Amino acid sequence: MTALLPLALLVSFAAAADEPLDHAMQRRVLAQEIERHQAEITLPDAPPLYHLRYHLLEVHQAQAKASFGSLIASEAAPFTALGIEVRVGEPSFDNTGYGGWESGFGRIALPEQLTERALRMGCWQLTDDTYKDAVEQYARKAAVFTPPPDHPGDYQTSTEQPLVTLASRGHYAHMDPAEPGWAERLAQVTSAGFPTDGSLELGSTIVAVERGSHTIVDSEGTDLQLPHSEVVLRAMAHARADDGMLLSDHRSWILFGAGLPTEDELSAAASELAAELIAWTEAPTLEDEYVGPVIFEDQAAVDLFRTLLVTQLEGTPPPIPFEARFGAMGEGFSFADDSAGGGARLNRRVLPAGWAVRDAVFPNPEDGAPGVFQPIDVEGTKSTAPVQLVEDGIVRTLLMSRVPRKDIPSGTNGRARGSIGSRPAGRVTNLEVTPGKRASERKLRKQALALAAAYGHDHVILVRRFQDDTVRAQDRSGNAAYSYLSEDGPRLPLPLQLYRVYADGREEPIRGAAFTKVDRWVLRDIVAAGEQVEGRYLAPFEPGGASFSPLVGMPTSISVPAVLVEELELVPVSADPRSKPAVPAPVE
Amino acid sequence: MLTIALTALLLPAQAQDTSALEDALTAELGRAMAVFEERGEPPYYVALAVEEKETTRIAATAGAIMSSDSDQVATMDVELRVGTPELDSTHPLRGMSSLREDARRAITLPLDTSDAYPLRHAVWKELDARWRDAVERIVVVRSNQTVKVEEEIVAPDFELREPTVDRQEVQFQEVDADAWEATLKKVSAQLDASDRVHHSRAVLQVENLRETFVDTEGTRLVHGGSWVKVGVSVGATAADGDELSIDRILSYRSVDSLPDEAALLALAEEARDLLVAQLDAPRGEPYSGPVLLDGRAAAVFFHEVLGHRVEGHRMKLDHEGKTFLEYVGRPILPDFIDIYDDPTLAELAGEDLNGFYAYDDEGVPAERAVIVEDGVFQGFLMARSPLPDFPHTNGHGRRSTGKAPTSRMGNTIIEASETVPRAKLRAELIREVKAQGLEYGLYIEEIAGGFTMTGRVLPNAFNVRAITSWKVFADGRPDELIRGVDLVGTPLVAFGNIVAAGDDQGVFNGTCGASSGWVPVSAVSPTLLLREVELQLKEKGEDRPPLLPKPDGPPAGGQAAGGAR
Repeated sequence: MTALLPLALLVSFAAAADEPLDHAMQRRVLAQEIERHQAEITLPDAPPLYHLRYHLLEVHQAQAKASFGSLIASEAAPFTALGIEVRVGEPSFDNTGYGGWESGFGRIALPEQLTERALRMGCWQLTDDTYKDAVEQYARKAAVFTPPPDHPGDYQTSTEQPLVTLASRGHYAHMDPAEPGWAERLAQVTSAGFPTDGSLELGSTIVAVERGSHTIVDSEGTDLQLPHSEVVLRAMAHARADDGMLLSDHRSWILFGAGLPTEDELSAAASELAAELIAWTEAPTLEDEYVGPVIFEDQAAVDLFRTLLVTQLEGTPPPIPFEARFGAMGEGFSFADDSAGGGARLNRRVLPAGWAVRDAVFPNPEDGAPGVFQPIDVEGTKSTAPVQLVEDGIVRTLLMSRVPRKDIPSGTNGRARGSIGSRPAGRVTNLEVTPGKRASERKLRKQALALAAAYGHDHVILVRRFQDDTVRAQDRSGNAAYSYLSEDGPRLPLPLQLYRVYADGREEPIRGAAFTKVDRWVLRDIVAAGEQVEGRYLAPFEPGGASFSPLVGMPTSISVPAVLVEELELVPVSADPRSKPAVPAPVE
Repeated sequence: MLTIALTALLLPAQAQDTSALEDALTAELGRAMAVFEERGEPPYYVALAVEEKETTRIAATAGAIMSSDSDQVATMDVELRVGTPELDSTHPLRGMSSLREDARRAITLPLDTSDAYPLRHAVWKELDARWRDAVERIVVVRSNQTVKVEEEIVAPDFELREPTVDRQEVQFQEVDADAWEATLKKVSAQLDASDRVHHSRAVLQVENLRETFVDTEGTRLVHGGSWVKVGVSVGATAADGDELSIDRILSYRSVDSLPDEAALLALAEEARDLLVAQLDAPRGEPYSGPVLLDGRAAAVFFHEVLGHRVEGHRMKLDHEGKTFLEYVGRPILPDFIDIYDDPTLAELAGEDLNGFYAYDDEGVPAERAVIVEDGVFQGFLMARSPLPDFPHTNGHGRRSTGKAPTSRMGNTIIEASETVPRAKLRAELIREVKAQGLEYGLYIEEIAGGFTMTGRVLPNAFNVRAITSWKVFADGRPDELIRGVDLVGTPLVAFGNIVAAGDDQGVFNGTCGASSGWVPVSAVSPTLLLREVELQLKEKGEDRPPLLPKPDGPPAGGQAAGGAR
C-alpha cells in the first residue's frame, strides 16, 4: 500500500478521455484503481481484501493457415485483455487454492484502442465481479477446510523491494505481426513445400505471432512492463498407408531468440517432412507384442521426459477439490497430507543416481539465447537464478510460485507461469536434464541389445519421433487420444519413427505400435544415456493439463539425453480400413 | 430463439461464364462419381455448396474502439444421398441407431478459390469421406425401417428436380472503416453517458456472401448478397439483481442505407434513457388478460407460435407435435387474417427484409408459400423433403453452413383484411379490460425474441421475450412501465384469442435458430389485440449491482443523462 501513495498524488494528471494511453499512464491508472478498490470495496462481514493484482496484456496478433501453398484463414488484429488476482482474508488463509471457477482470478477483453476511460471501466467491472466471487469462495473454502497447524498458508507476500518498470526489450525486430501479410506469406511459403501429387491427405502450415507488452501492477507495489513476444510456426502433414492407417508428423518452430529459417529453408523442411512421412507408410506393421528395452532418441527423448518428468518438479499445490453435485473440481489435494499435492516428488528419487535436473535462465532473446526469456515471473518475482531441481536423481526442490509449501520454506523461486486471469503455478521454463554419465551411440545400442537378448529378442526397439496428438486431430479420422487424459496415468503418444535395431547396425522401420500405460517409475528404469537433444514445446496452461490446439500453450525449452529404458511394452495397433479413401487423391 | 440481424442482396447481373471454383467443383464431383459407380452403391444425388464470406466488424465501448477487423472464409457443404429418393441415407434414424455420429460438417476451403490443387484436394477429401459414411448409414437406415414400426407419415426422402442454371454477379460492399470507427466511438460514448449504465456497445457489421452451388442434376448457381447491420446495446444490473439490456439493431441490404451519425446518437440516447427508466420500473406479476401486441412484437409472436409449426419436415418426425397437420383446409385464425411466407420480398413497409433470398440452400428458387388464407390453414413451408399432400418444395430449404437443410421461414407476412386504426386499438384494449373486470391490461411494445417447443414430451408452448411492457389502467391512470415478464401460451388457444388487428405493419428482422442452424428471417405483422394472454415472470439475475460507483467522468462526446451517483 505504501508504495502506491506516491502514485496516488498524480491523480490530477489525466489524459483526455478518448486518447490512447501511454504505458506510464496505463500503470498509473491501474495503481489508482487498486488503491480505490482496496480503500472502498466491501461487503458486510466480508474478509478484508489484502491483495489485488492487475495484468494488462496489449499485443498485436497475427495468425494464418495455409494448405499446399494456398491461404485458408488469416487474422491480424490488436488484442488487449485485463487479468485480475483478488485475495481476501489473509496470506495464511485466503480464497484461493479451492476448486471451481469463481476463485478470485478472472479476465476480460478491453478495447484495442485503450483509453483511460476504457481501462478504468474495465478495472471497475472486473474487480467488482471477481471480488464478489472471492468473498463467496472464501466462505465456501472456510466451510470445508480447517487449516492444520502447519498449514503453510495460501500466499507468500514479497519480502523484497517491489520490482519496477523494465525496459521493453525482447522483441524480434524482423517479425512484426502488424506488418500486413507477414504471417500469411510465411504460412503459404512453408506449405508450398508439400507435394501436390496426391501423396498427402494433409499438408498445411499454421503461423501465430504475438508481440506487445505485459503490464503487472499490484497492491504490493509491483509495477512492471514486460516485453511479450511469441512466434509459433507448425508445418503439419498426414499420409495414409495402404491398410488405412493414418500417420502424422510435423515440424515446429517455437521461437525464443534466434530468427526463423529462410523461406526456402522452411519450404524445404516441409518437403523433407513429407518425404519422410510418405516413406513411413511403406513400413511393415508390428505384428506381436514387444516387451523389453527401448531406446528413445531425438524428439522421442524430449517427449518422454516432458510427459513423465515435468509434473514431478512443479511444486504449486493443486486446489482443494470443490465437491460440486456433478463431481469434484480441483482434484489432487490430499487432506491427509497437504504437502503431497499434485505429482510433485520432493525428496523422492525420480531418476537414476548421478542424474541432475535444473531449470535454467537465459538472457534476452536478442542475444540469441536458446531458451525462454523470462526474467520476471507472472507474480512479479525475479527469476534470474537457475533452480537445481534434482541432484543425484533425487528431487531437492520444486518449481515454486508464491503459493507456499511447508516442505519448501524458501518459497517462490520465480517460476510462476500461467495465462492471465487464472491461478499461476510453478512451472518449467527451460528444463535441462543431464545424466551422471553418457554412453556413445554404439555403446548404448550394444547395451540395449544385450538387455533385449534376456527377453529373447534379436533386436531392440528404437523410437525417434512420436506423433503429436494435436496434429493428428487435424483429421476427422485422427481419433486423437490426448496424452495426460488417461485416468490411470500418463500415456505416451503414438510412435511415428519406430525401428527394430539389430546387432549389425541395421535399422528396420516399423509402424502400427503403441506403448501400453507408462508411469513415472519408467524414468528410474533408465539404464543408460546418450547424446543430448534439444526440444521446444508449448506447455498446457494448466499444470498436468492437455493440449488441444497445436498453437496454444506456454513456450518451453527442454534439453535431455537419449536414453535406454530397461523395459516397456509395445502392442500392435490396427488400422481402420473404413478411413481409407475410395477415390484417389487429385494430382496437380 | 430470435436475435437481431438484417439482410441484403445486390440486384444481380448475369455472369454466365463458369468460374474456376465451379469448374473445380464440377471436375471433382465427376471424378468421384465415376469411382462411386465402380465401387457400387453410388449416390443418386450430390450437391456441393461453397460459401465465400467476407465480414467487417467494428465495435466500440465507452468511447473507445473495442475491435475493428475484417475476415474472409470459404466453406463447403456436401449434400450426398445414397439409396433412392423414396428411402435414402439421410432418413432420420430412431432408437439407439439415432446416436450414430453425424458426419456432416462444413469444411474450410482456400480463400483463393482459383488455386486448383488445394481446392480440389479439400473437395476430394470431404466428398470421399461423406460417401463412405453414407454407404454405412444406408445399411443402418434399412435395418431401422425393418425393426421399427411404420412411421406416422410415409413419404419420400427427397424430391428430384429439373436443373436450374443462374450465375449472378455478386459484388461485395465496403464501408469507410475510419469514418465508422469515429462515429461508433461517439455513439458508444453517448451510451455510456450515465452513471446508471454498466456496460454498452455500438456495433457495425457488414457481411458479404457469395454462394456457388453445383449438383448432380445439373443445377449451377452463383448468387449471394450483403447483410448490413448497425446497432447499440446498453445494459445494467437493477437493485434487485435483474440484468437488463436494451438492444437496438438496424438492418439493411446496402451500406448506402446506413443511418447518419445524428440518427445513431439519437438511437443511443433513446436506448440509454429507456434502460434507466427500466432500472427504476417495478417488476410485473403473473397475469392473464387482454394484451395489445405492437406490430413487431406480434410479428415475433407469429414466428414462434405459427412459423415453426408449419415447417413441413416436422410433420415427418414422430417426436414432433404436428400441431397443424390435421388442420389443412380448416380455420385456425380469425377470418380476417392471411399469412404467407415470401422470401422473394426484398422490402416491405419501407424496411429491408432480412429473410430475402433468391435461391434456398437446396438450389431451389424461392417462392411465396401461402400458409393461412381467410383464417383457414392452407399448407406448409416445404424443402425438398415431400409430404403426401405436398410433394413439391416451395423453396424454403435452409440451413447454416455445416447443417442439413430443412424447411424454414424466410419473410413471414401477416396481413389483416379488416383493421382498426392503430390509435383506436388502445381504446379497444381498455374496453376489453373493463369487460373482464380487470384493473389493467398490458401493452407489449418491445420484444427481444422468443422460443417455442414443438415436440411431444415438453409442453407444446411458446415464450415471447418481452422487453418493454406497459400496464394500461382501466381507470385512466397514466401507463406504468414494468419489466420482468414474458408472454407464454399454447398455439391453438392463443390464436383463438385474436380479436382485432391494427392498420399498421411492424417489421421484425432477426436470426432464427433451429436444427438446421441459424438463418436470417423477417416477420411483419399489424398490431394485434388479444382477448387473453398469459404472462409469466422472467428469470432474474442474482448478483448485486456494482459495489463501487462507476469511475469518474463521462467519456468524451457523451452527454450526462439519467440517474445520479
